[in-house]
Amino acid sequence: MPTAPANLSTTPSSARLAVLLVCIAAPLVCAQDASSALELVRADEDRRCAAFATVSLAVVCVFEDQRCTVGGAGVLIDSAGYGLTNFHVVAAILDSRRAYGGLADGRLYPLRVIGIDPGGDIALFKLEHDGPFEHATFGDADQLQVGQWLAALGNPFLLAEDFIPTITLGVVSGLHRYQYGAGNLLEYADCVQVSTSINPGNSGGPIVDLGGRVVAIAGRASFEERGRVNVGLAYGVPINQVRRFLPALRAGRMCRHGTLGATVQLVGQELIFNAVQDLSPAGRAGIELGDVLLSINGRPVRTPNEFNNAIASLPAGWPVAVGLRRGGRDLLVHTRLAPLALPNLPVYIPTLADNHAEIRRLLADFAGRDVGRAGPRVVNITCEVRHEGEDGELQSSWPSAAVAQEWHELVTPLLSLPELDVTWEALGGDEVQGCIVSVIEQRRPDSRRLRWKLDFDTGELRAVTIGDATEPELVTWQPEARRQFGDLRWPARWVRQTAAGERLVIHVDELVIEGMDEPVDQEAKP
Amino acid sequence: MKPGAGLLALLLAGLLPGPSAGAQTPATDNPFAAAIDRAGQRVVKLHGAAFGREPGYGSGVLISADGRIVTTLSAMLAGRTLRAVLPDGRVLPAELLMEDEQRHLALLKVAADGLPFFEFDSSAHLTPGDWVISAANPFKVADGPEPVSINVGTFSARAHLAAVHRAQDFPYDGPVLLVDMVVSTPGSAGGALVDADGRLVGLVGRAVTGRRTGTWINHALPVEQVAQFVHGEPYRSAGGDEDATATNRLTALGIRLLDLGGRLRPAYIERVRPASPADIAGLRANDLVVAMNGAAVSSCEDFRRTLRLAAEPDRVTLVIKRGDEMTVVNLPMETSP
Amino acid sequence: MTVARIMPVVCVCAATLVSAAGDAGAAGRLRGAQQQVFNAALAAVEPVIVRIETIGGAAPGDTSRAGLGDALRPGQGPATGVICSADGHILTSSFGFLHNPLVIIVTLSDGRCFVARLIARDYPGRLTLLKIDAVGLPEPEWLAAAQLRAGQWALAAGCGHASPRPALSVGVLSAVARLGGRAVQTDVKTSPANYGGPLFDSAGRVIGICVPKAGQGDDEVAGTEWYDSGIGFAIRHDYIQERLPRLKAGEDLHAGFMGLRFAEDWPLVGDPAADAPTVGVRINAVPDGPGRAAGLVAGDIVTHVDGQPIPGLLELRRVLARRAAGDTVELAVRRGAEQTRASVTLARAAELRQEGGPPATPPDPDQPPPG
Repeated sequence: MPTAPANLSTTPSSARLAVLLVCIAAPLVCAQDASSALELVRADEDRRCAAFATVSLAVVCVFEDQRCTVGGAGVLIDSAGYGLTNFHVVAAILDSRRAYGGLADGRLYPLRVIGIDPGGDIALFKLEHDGPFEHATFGDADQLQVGQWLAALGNPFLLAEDFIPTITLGVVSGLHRYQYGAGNLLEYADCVQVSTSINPGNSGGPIVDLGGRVVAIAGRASFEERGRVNVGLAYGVPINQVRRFLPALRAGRMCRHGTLGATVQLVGQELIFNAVQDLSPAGRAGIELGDVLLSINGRPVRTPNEFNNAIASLPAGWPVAVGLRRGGRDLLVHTRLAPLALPNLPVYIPTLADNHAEIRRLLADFAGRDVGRAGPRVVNITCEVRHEGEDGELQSSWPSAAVAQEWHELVTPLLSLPELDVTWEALGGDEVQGCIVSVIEQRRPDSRRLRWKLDFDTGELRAVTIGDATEPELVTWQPEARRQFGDLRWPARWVRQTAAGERLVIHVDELVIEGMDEPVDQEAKP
Repeated sequence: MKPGAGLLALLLAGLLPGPSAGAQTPATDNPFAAAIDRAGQRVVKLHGAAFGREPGYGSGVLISADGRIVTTLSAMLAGRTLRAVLPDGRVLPAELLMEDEQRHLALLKVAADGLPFFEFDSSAHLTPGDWVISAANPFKVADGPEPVSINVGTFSARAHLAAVHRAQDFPYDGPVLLVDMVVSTPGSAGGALVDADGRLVGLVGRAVTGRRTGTWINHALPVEQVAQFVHGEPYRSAGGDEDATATNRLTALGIRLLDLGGRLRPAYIERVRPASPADIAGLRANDLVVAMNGAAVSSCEDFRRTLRLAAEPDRVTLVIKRGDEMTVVNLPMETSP
Repeated sequence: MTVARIMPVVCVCAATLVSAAGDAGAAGRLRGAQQQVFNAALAAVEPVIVRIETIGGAAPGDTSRAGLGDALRPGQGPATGVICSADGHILTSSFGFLHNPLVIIVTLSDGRCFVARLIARDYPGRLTLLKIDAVGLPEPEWLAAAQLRAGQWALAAGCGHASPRPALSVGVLSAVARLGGRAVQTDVKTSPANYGGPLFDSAGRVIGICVPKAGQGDDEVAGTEWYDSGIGFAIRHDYIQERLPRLKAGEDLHAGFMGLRFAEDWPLVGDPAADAPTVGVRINAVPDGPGRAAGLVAGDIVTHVDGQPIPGLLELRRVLARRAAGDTVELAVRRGAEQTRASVTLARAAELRQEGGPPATPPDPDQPPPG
């Protein structure tokens, strides 16, 4: 039964309230007077200038020579003085790996190249002086939007007579752009196109958002009839790509980019695989000619450029999930990329010192302790090995000396900070559960390989593997359930999936490390 | 429910942070998103045959839902391989419908419908310092469905174009919008210039060199000129019955120039009519006019052209050289009968 | 449903929309405020901007000089200048006067037209001073150097396109002290359209005068190849104020050199082998010239110039940038364990070259850019 129609006159105060509220909202659209407009503009300007002043302290004027006549720019990424620049800025000094860096304090520091990524035009260096140094923070290039304000900091035409970087303002002009390599110019895949003025000397310098966070490394620009002078188009390597290569760069290695070993072609509106090399990652994953490519690692791919961009920004060995359509069915295949062959790759041997310095840094981070001295310490771990079903139910509890022994071998180096010799190597990066990890490997005399994968951002242990030369990652232990053991935050549960589909779980009850002042807490069993 | 409860709910909701608060990038760092989105859907990439030094690619703007496109004149429009790439990536053959040599514009057509397009608004509201955004495909960076390149700058000034294109005088000498970002790049011509609200204010112009500055001129053709072109109105140069205007004004001022023809004749005054405005202001025979209304006058033709273009026909300021002295003379001018 | 029931729902919906629009509203408000501020800043500065026409001298485009290379030849259009004092002194860029014109005509923003005389030039600053017979002219509001910050809005305006109003360009300050400390660097589009015009901030206060480049070299068109590239310079207000009294007196100012050779390598932090002194600059060689005439010898360490401490070569260059050929500078010098003084009369580059070879000066700010 219909109710009587609402009669507004019976609730006059409601209507008046509504009108009042609209009037309050109206000033949103009113024009501002001149002084409040200037205040608004000034406040925004102040915020921007403060952010730029801070990040300017982390920008390096990189020079090949001590006279400071040839060079580009770079940016420090940690307080120890590690920094990023373009590979082409340091390519000429790779024999000595020594160069010079001017900071905004007006002083020139010696600099050493640590790792290089020629395919991505990136290099990692370190200032050879005690810190602490001001350093920049990373933004997220995947969050960038076209038209967003950006600034570039660098040293165009080497005009920074006091090493304070030159700042130029612009916007994101395009995303996921592709620039062909030609002559001296390196290929730039999946790069950020910017309208900030970028000129010779800006190379290697950071491109930042208005909060001063680094979103790309400036490296190339489009030039035309006027010669090598900016005309509003420049390109930077997105920081998200650089992050994937940082573990290998820090390990002092030369990075390789990845390839699927297959090519695609646009047929109508579909992207079809038109060539698949047999022993390539694509071949081994079962990708066939005629398959329609839909996505790479969840990212939709519509054109050959986008395919290039998706793959070329990944390191060799990186895991990829390829979304396909075959005969009307959607499939997902997994594989790891093979190294991409590049002409004129330099010969570059990592130094043991740099590589081991990185291992020590990663392990120290994880152990949560200052690494004053290497060497084993006594570690006493009490644990229980359980055999659990799918739902976590205890199926049987049996001490397995072999499993416990294997697990002890894997975790002891994490706590006792081993002596490093040539059997230890920082391998570079990988991706585990969507996180970038650094991989440390030990090659045992019995030819087994042990690998530890630590989260590059948080330092947490993501996985530990055991294998041999043919199959380096046969067995994987996954740490879970971090708990406090004294002043150490450590996984209390370790899970291994067996080939038969069973779960082996190790619960850590007690953890004692010699030298700690108090006995650690007892953890109740779950 | 009491009305007071509604008010309370409103106030509480208003105090809560908005949906995008807490995001990494404050909205003020990306103020052009809506305008860029609009422009991107209405700009096409053009491809054709390269001729000599002209690249075989460019940009164009959609001006009707059924696929009419305006772009700048270029050699590739005459070729059979001319095609337009729509924002969604579709590649369609393009047909040349109309050309305008003076304005250097062309109208194309592709077979499509339901396309987003630009209305012809106006550029009159632009004042110096207003944000302007260009959407075009310089260096053909964008391929297929990839978005065109965006540049942001400010509106610099309105001016009349005086330019050359590869050593030849550029035919358009009318009003242009000067902008302070570089749009004189290969492939940008024909792209859209929009304001901060995404309204079309101009079409990015051909890459030409200005005669006054000797530099590449970053400019756009005002949307009013584009509209006139599309509606079939021919461009009338600032000329017209120019000589008659100049002659009338000279007569009104009472000046006769010593003009024996030829472009390089300096603007000497041959005779001043008694009791004319020139006589009253003190001009005499054999005075050499070197500047008028702030513009240098180096020849009789300069004098006549500047006089014809004078914006204030009721006042003329001359700088004259008499012997070794320089003097400034202001002339009121009777309005022509 | 009565109105009383749906009101709260409507209120909450409206509030959500309002606060969502609030973010977009904040962006639009700032955008609009910026446009308003830029326009107002131009209007504030317009009264001190003048248009300059030149007649005669070498024909435009005919500045025949060997090796111009990429540099620009001046076009046919007007140049820009800035009134620097109410009595009719006008500063502009020397780029518009390379052809030594016979007649110079200045048009003020109110339309009045004057004939101008060329009073003097500052060669290293690439500035030219003109004078018109006028009084009571508006003067610029200058921005103090201490208030300059990299990243702040910088605006330029010029008459080179013969537009009814000066053409505006907006960018940011890229660096506060460049070219021997004479100039700020900016990514505003500078070109012959606005060389000689003002660089100003969002409140219309003048930071400096736009020039292609400045420095000790003789090349007057250096830097023009960078027009509209986001590499631009403006001679700073504090440099201008120091030079103006001498320029107004009709004195042409040339770069002054001591004729000394210093180490070309920068001192390296943490390098124990470096023989660079912690304070001061060591003289490596003293060829025949003002330095030798003043009694300086190799090994001397210059610690002060005219009372100003000199921590390194950069500061020495910057102090000398504010002097001119013919000036005498007082040096405080450490020789071994002793302190001594020297008076050096700066010479022009051409005078030093007579010894053969390039001038023995601190590294020139206009070094050619790397490949």
